Amino acid sequence: MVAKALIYVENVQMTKLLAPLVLILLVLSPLSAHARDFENVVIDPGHGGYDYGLLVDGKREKDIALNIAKKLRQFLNEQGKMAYLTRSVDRHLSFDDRRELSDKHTPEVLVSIHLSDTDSAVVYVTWYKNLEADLSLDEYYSLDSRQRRYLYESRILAGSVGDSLGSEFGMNVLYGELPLPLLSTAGEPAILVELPSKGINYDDDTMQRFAYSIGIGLILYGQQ
Amino acid sequence: MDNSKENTKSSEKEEAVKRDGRLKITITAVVFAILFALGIGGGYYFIHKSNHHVVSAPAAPATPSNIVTEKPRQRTDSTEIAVFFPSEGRLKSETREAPKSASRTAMARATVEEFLKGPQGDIKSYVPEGARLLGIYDGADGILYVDLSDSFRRGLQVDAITEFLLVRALYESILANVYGVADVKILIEGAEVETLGGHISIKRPLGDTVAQTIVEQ
Repeated sequence: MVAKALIYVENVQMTKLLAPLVLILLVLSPLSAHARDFENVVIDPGHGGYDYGLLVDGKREKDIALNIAKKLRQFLNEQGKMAYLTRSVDRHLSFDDRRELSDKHTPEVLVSIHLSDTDSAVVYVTWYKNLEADLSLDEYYSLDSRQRRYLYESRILAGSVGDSLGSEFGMNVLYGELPLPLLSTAGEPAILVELPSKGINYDDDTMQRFAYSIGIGLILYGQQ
Repeated sequence: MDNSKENTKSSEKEEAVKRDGRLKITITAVVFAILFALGIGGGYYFIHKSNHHVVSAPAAPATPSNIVTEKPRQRTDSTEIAVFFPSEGRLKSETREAPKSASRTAMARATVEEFLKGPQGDIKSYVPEGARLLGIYDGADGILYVDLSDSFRRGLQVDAITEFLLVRALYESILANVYGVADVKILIEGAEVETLGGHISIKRPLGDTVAQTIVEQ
């Protein structure tokens, strides 16, 4: 309603003056409660144990992913969110283990952190072979089909995190769909973020910036 | 009477002398003929034996006749196969030579062994070093089971898209060269495993997983 009122303000200067006020009203108004607001987030650091993932200048993907995941958890906790990790130490987890550990926290958002073998970030949502097909009840409610109901939201989440990474680092961000079992079995919006491995020095500051920009992307998604 | 007897005796003597002469000539001729025949035969035998020894003994495996028969056999017993590899976010096909066989498992074995050699030229190989094919099993359900060594999994360092493409490349290579395969399933050291590189599931046969067309935005 307030936004509609803005349309009828003919004076541009007046619009500029009112804009901050409108934003505050939008935030405070009960009518504008964010449908995507969330409390619980699960962060999944990729790989672990004997599965090193990629090697980046002598550093292992499993360690980089875990480091960024911990920093992201801290950032989200500071924003008043409850953030959980599927693993907080270096150990191997199967897809089923990760799914079980994630479901235990009934998350509203799931982010899996990996590295890409390029100088670009890539944000994936899952892919289904027969997305538009009519499924039997058994198929529709199978664990593998769980993400079908959240795929639209997952794409919006991917866009928000991708935009945040792009604006923070000025890097190229690609979006893709792959048959990823951790995402396809998720009963919440779920994305897999691959951070670039080429042209990046993964020191502590850089990993903090990656955690921050993913976190901002999540917060902004929740405010849409 | 006496004269006639003497004439008869003298004529008999002459006849005897003539017979002896003809006999000697005949015997001599026969002896010469035998000697001539022996000479010809011996000479032929000697020459033939000498030639055979010089030509065949030292180089028996590489005689011209062997090479002539080997070449056409190579041509008819080999065939060209298409093997796929990940390259710049897509699959690239290479043509390889493999032994021709009517057996599905033999063709699949040849295909996977060429796949495990990796791509040629400047294309980066994502096939881990030391990865070996342990076995090919033809299931009654049309599923071809490809049993690979553990080094194929443990040596794999790839991101999600490359893992997907590597699995798809193996699948496409087999389907391109082996007749009547309904699906392909990867085993590691004879057992089912969940994933190769931590992104894509290989617990089930690959057909549904690799059916996606890659579109990057």
